[in-house]
Amino acid sequence: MKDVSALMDGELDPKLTRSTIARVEDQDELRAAWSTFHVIRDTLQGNAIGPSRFIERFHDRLEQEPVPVAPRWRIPRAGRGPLALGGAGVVLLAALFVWMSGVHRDPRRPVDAPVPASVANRLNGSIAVEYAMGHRQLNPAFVVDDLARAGEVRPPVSAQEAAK
Amino acid sequence: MTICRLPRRLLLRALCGLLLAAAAGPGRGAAVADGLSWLARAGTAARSANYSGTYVYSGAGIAESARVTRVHAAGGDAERIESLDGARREIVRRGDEIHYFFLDSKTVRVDRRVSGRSFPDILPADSAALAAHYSIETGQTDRVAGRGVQVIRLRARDEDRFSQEIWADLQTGLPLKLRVIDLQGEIVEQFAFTEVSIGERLSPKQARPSRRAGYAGWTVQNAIVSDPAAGGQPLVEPKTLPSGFRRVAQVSRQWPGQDRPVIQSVYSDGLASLSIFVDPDLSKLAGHEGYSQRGALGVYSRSFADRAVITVGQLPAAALRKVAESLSVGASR
Repeated sequence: MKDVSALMDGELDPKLTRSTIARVEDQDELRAAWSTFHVIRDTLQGNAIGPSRFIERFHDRLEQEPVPVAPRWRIPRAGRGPLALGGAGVVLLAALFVWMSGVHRDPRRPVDAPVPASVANRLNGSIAVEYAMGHRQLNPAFVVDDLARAGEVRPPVSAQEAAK
Repeated sequence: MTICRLPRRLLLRALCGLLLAAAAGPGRGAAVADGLSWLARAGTAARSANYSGTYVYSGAGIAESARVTRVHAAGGDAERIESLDGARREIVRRGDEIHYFFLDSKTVRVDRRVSGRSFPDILPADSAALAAHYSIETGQTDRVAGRGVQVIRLRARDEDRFSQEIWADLQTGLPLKLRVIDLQGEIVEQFAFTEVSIGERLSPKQARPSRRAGYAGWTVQNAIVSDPAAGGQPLVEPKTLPSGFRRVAQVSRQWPGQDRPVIQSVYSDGLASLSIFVDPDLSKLAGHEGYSQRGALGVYSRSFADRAVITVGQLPAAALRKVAESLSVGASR
């Protein structure tokens, strides 16, 4: 898996390149990883999904917000791309991406809360979770088992703000 | 000459068609007709094909991948969706019966499908009716998961719903990618297969829970889903709905650990849908009134008629709010 990431970054030892490509072609799991890395890289570069200034906004938020559970990281601006990180850059960025999107998008998360893994958890652990799951029954990103813990935090936008 | 032998009416119709197409601009009429037939093809493929693959869902700033296997057999259709990120979750659906397996917390929850479809099975049987609310046309051809695809665009005709784009497999029609686009033109949600195989011979066994035994020590939660009881609580209904939305389901459901049932009503224009949950436990709302949005999904909670009413749907915030604020008490059943 590390070789696949290095291959994507163009930093794999040339001696290993041919065999790694062969393995990617052969093994379903590696092929899926290859694909997924591309989607993630596209996402991080802002090509694939999300508001076009997403990464920039992330960056700005990162500058402003204290990071409660881990050292402060910087994410490269979209133009430089994950290539600048080198090595297992994509894997690291993927992990960072998931982690940061969980922590930073919601300033009201308690500092000691576990790092969330799904949209459902990120619906702020609010009352919304239960009903979001009841509505989007077959989307695993909205499926959580611990609804009890989900009741602790308020939604991020008040009724007044929403009414604007 | 061949043309002389064509019935006159047919000729006239063809002429009208040509004129209309010319008026709409070159190629436009063809793209619209194409859009509708591609949409029908995509819907049919999603409802009837066997497929298995991995897709990435992105929305609300996260990307999460899942492996889906869908099998059609004599006994009906079944699918298994396994989350590949975060806590290990597996959704197994047989017909309308859903089992959620939470493998980390050793919990299985039994539920019934109420709100309908999920990627890639997202289109209604009557996809032509969508044309009343979306302008539908084909776009370019592209490639998704290594396969040639045709882009189908569904642009919302009003501000009450999101636009969507579907990338349909050229060979089979199966939707391989879906984008939901908000009123500002930003992508709020996307599903995309990274690898998929379609039309293969799959056995129903492949859509069964991956864990076949060893459920000792597991907790089973039963969500009781039934028709709203006759003479039960008065029904809460919206006075305002986006055009084309009609009620497609109404159930009474009792979630595990709750003593009173919640009434869920589902409304849809065929593509987008919203649920209104009426929960007799008003205390649940404490501190939770307001609007929250993640990806394409908005959640608006408020108290109404001594109940907690939660409106959830893939709609723009303003449209969802209009629905949630137009509640009235209907006749009790």
